[in-house]
Amino acid sequence: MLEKGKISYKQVMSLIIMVVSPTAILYVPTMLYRIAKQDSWISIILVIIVALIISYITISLGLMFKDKTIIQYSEIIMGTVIGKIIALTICIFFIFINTIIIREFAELLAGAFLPETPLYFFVVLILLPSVYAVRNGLEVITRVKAIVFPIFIITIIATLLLVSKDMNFKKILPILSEGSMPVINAAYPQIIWFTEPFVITMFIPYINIPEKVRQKAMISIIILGIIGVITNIGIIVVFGEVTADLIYPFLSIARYVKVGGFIERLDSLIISMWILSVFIKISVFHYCSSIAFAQFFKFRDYRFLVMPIATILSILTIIQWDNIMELTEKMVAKLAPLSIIVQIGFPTIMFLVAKLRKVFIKQ
Amino acid sequence: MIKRKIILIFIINIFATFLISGCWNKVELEEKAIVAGVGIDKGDSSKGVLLTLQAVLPSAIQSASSDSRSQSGTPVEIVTVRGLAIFDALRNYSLLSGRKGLYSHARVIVLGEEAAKSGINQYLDVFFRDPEMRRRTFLLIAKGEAKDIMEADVRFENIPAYGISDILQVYKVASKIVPVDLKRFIELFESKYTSPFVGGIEIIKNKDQNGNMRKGFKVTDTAIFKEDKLIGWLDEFETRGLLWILGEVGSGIIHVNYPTSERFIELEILKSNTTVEPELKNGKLTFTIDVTEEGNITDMYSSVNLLDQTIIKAIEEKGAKVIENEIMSVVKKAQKYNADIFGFNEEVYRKYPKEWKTLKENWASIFPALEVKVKATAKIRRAGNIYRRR
Repeated sequence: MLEKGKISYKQVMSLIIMVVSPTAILYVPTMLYRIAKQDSWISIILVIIVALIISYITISLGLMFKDKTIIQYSEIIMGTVIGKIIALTICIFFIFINTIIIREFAELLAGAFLPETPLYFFVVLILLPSVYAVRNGLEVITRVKAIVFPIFIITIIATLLLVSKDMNFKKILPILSEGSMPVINAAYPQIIWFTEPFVITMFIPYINIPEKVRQKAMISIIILGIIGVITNIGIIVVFGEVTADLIYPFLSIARYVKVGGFIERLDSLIISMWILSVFIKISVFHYCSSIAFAQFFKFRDYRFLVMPIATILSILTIIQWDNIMELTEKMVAKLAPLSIIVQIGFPTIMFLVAKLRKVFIKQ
Repeated sequence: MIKRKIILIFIINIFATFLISGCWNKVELEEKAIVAGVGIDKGDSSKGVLLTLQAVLPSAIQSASSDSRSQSGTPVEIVTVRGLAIFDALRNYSLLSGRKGLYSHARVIVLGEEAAKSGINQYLDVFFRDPEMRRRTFLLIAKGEAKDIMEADVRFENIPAYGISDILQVYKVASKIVPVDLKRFIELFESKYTSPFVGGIEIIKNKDQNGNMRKGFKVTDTAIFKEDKLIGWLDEFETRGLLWILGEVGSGIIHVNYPTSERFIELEILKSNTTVEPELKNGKLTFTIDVTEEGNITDMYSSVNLLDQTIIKAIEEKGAKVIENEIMSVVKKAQKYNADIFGFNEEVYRKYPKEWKTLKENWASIFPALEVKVKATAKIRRAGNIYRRR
C-alpha cells in the first residue's frame, strides 16, 4: 500500500465538507443568481438530492473493493484497456480541477486584496505547503483539517449573523415565479461542486471502518446543502438584485458587516479563514492526483511525484486563463461536462457493471 | 545528520526573512493620506470631474489629539483635484500631495447638484468596482456644489466628513432624512422600475463668537432620481412620508394642532409598523398603506384634560391625520415625477408574479395613476411626568 496511515471514519464527514464548500460559497451564489434569481436556493436542494444518490452509488462501489482505490479497481471491473483509460482520465481530472481551485484562490487574493502582486506568487505560496502536507500523507492533511473545520463553520455562521440586521427577507419572494426551468438550469453548474465527494473513492482503503463511510458521507452532503442554502439566502436577502454583479458575494457580505460601530471590516478575517480552508481543498486534490498517478503506473511510492505534479499544477494554473472573466465563464462550460463524466458517469457505469458481473459469476 | 538539519533550518530561516518582510502591496502610513470624504462636481469644461477630498494626515491626527485642540488646526486637509473621470482624479491627488489616497475609510460621498442632474452613474462605478471602497459609505446630494460642503466647518468633529456620517447614523432621532449608503443606492438603481433616492445636504451660514460668518452644513431633504438623473427634491415633510412607507421611521415628532390651530401637542414616535399591500382587481391595481404608530405626549401647549379618553382619542385621530397627510404628499409628488421611489413595483412582483409580466410593460403609465389608500392609526401610551399644565 502506498499510504501507511489510517484515518478514522469520523473524519470523513468534515473532510467532505471541507473539500466542497470553500470554493462553493465563493463564486457559486452569483452564478446561480444570474440563472435562477431569488429561487437559487431551491436549485441547491435539487442538486443535493442528485448528489446524495450519486455518492450512495460511488461509495457502494468503493465498498465492494475495500482495500483498493478507484484507479485500481477500474481495471478489475472494466478490463485492462477501458479500465486504464478510465483511470488515466480520473488522474488528469484531479489535476485539472485543482488548477481551477488554485486559480480561484489566487484570483481572489489578487482581485480583492493585493492587485500588484504577481499571480504566480500566490500559486507558489499555496502549493509549497501543499507539497509538504501531501508528502507527509493523508493523516497530516486530516489533522490540519480537524483544526480548520470548526474555524470555517464558525466564521461563516458568525458573518451571516452579524449581517443579519441588514437582511430583508422579502427579497426571496416570490418563489418559483418564472416556473421551474430556471431552477433546474441553475442546478446544472453546481454539479461540479456537489459531486466532489467523489474524492472519497481515493480514501476508502485508508479509512479504519470503511462500512461506516456511506452514512457519514450522506450526512456531510446534507450539511453541505444546508451551508449552501443559508449562504445563498443570506447573500440574496442582503444584496438582492445586485448579487448578479458581485464577483465575490460572500466577501462583499463580510465587507458590509457593521455592528455597533466597532465590529466592521471583517474581510481580513474571512480571507484568512478562507485561505486555510482552501488550502485543505487544494492539498486533498493534490494528494488524490499524486496517489492516482502512483497507482496508475504501479509505483511503490507516491512521494517523488508530489513535487512534479505541483510544478505542472502551477504552470497550468497560470496559462489556462487570461483573466477572471474568462475563468468564471469557461469554468462551468469546461468543467461541468467533465464532472458529469468523471464524477457521475464513471462510478455509475462501474457500479452497474460490477453488479452484473457478480450476478453472472454467481450463476 | 542532526548538524545538517540545523544548518538546513538556518538557511530556510534566512530565506524566509526575504519573503515575510512584505509583499508587493506593502502600505507605508507615511505614503498614504486617509481620505475621509469625497465631493464630486462636474468639471469646468464639458468633460472631466472636479473632486474635493478631505484627507486626514495620520501624523496630524496624533498631534491634534495630544494638543487637545489648543490650536485651531484640524488634521484635515481639503484639496481640490481635477481629472478626466473619478479614478483619474483620485490618482491625480498624488500629484498635489505626494501621497496616495487611501479610500477604504471614506465615510461620505457628496455629489454636486449639477453632477447629479447630468447622470450620477458615470461617477459612481469606481466606488462599487474598486476593492478598496466600502459599500457602507454614505451618499449625499449637495444643494449647490459639493465643493462647498466639503469645505464647510463643523465644530463637534475634527473631521467634517465624519461629522456628516454621524448625522446620517442618528437619522432616527428626527426621522426627517433618509440615510442611503452605496449598497442601498445600487440596489435601488439596479432594480429597473424603482427610482433611486438619496439624502440631500445644504450649506447654512453660522456666526461664530467673533462675529465671523462660518459655513456649516445641514442634512435635509431627499433627492429623487429617474434612471440616474436628479429630477426633483422631497422636503422634510415628504421625506417623513417616504420613511413611513418604507417602514423606517424610528423616532421623531408628530406635531398636532389641538384643540385650536394656535395650540399644539407634540407626540414622540416610539415605534411604528407599516404594511404595503397591492391588490389587483379586474386588472386595476390599488395600493393600501397601513401605518400603526405608538408614541408619548412629550410637549404640549394646550390645557386639555388628558385624563379624558375622548380627548386622547381625538388627539390620536389628529396624529393619524398628520401621518396620512405626510404619506399622501410624498405619493403625489412621486406620481407627479413618475418615479417609483417606494418600490411598489417589487411589491406587485412579489404578490402577482404572473400578472407582473404584462403589468411591467405599462408600469410607466400605471404608476402615476395608481390609486393609493392610506390608513394610519396613532396610539398615545404615556404623557411624561405631568398630566396637564395651565
